[in-house]
Amino acid sequence: MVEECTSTMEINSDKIPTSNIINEGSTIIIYLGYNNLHVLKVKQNETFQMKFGALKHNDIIGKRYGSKIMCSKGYIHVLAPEPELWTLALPHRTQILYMPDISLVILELDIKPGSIVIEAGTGSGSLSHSIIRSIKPNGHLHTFEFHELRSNIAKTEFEEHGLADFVTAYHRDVLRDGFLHENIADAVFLDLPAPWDAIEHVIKVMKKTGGRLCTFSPCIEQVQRTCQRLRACGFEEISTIECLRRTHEFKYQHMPKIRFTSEQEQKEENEEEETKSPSKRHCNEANNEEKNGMKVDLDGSQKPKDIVQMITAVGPPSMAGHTGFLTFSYIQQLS
Amino acid sequence: MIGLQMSSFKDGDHAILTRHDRTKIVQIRKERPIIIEKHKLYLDNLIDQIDGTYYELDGQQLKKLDAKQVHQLEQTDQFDHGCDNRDLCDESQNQLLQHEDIESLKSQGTSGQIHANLSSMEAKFLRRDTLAMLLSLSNVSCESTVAIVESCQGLVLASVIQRCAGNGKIFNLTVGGNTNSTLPCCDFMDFPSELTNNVYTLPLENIGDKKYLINAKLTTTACANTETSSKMREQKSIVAEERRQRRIDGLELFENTKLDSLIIATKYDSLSILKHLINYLNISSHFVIYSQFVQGLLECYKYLKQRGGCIHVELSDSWLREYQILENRTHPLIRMSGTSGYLLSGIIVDNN
Repeated sequence: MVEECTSTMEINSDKIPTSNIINEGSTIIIYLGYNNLHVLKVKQNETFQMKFGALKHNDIIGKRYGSKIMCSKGYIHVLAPEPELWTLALPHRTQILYMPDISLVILELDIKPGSIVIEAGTGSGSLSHSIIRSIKPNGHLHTFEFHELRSNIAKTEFEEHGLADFVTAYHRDVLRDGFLHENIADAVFLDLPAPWDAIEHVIKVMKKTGGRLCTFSPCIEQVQRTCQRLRACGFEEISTIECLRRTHEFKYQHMPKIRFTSEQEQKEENEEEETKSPSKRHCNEANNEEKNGMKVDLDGSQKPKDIVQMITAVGPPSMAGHTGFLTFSYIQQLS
Repeated sequence: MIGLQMSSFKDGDHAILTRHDRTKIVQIRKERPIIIEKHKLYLDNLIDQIDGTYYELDGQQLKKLDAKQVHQLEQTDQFDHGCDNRDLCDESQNQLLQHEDIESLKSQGTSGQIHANLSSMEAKFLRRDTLAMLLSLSNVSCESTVAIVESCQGLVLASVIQRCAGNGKIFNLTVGGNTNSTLPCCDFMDFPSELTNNVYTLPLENIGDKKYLINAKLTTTACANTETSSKMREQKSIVAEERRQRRIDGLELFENTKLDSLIIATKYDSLSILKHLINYLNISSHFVIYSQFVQGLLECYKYLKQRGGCIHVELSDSWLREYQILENRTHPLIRMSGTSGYLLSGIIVDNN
């Protein structure tokens, strides 16, 4: 969990404090509703205006993450900047990676506590936050960005989120200058326009015992050039995948039933029989009710007022059809 | 840094053998043959070798291939079928011939590479994108207290063990507190005990039963007071007693701990499990429920909505497509998995 870890000392000690309290200076996420999230830096005596009215920062300080905060025109929930929420709420400075791709990258690159990971470029830091969650408490992320301002903003965000011990943000053009280190990485992730030009640098930075690489490219031509270079450089298990996630909406559906005349006749016949033997009537009525799952009118009216209600999962009428291709590979370099 | 070094294989370790697109998980045992695709073979030559090495079949033994030989084999493997099929009578025959030429096997360690494990297991239990998403949504990290109810042969548990790396607490809730259901995948991973010391396997049906806990504790003290006679019996009872004690400690710990994550991926009714465990969740904690069927998850949603106190409730599935990337022959693979199963996830919040 990405929390406001207070100091290096505490993180590295055996007992990690699960500080759930929001302090002055904390970066928090305000949950206003589904897909309506806001990033907020808590400052004493300030107020934040939103659709539920004024939110006083002083009302948040000292509260636990997950608390409900009353505002003048409603209420909100305050949450920690955990990777999933951060990815949804973060200020976009570039096109970002979303959770389905991020999750696959973490799993397929085998990123776990202790891993040394290289990322280029940093972008808006969406993937970085998830990588850091996975490498804690003793791994490290080296993230490279050739745009100086973006690199600096990301650096500040990592510090504000208490993650500075697990990540180093570099302003550097890796295609031109390489990764600075040699033989340190367990995994490398590249989100660059021309990843094939970085492969030599990747080989240099990978551990001697081997490591995993993932490149993210939106276009198939980029993937083809990358794969060609990977094969030529001795990478193995090269595989390219694409993943899309669909969120479904929960909806109660109310559907009127058609009254089939043939069934109507059947019912009338039954009724006639029932009138002959009144003792049976009650029993039949109960059966009818059970069969249809609802009350059956016995007045013979033609109005289709029987309504079936059910809860359904409705897929999105429109959704992201493409994010990018993920190409995974593995290199073992024993010379 | 446990489990990070690409280590060499020892007697008793598990390994993944890959041959073409087929994989098999095997245990390396000295002088014990395994059967793979009707071949009887010994894995003795894997011992002390690092993972990722290529081998060829030499009788019933494996013979290590050097990089040069592997490269040659790969080139044969990628031999071009040609742009049209005028020379091909029967493609299956053609491929068969090629396959017979190549008798190479590749070995991989399991401890360093859950990925390799997964690719061979996903078909049976959970697809890799679903597992990946489930882990993300659960927000599991090295500091988490996690409860898991799963019927995925331990795939979820093993993944969580790897992501906690010995930190935090993991409650593996199984029917009867039996470890068999989650043993297979955990076994394959050859976890060192540092990584599993924080795993408590507890009987799911006794969670929340205070009477059971009190009674169990009473019997423990009673047992400790009675002296056992024979040494053999003593040895056995010590192990059993330790296990019992561990279970009681775990149950007590569970009752006194608030969870950061709850993962349900079970063949049992998810709704009743969710209802029973939801109050153990801390505020700002995450829950994820996996099911092959959407209907059960809709029932869970109905319950959550009526209960309140949870936000960002999402129901999702996913689409995963793999591509063949070759010059002039780039296209999606001819076959793909048609269903990912469904994930219901959300965050528990203050409800007052």
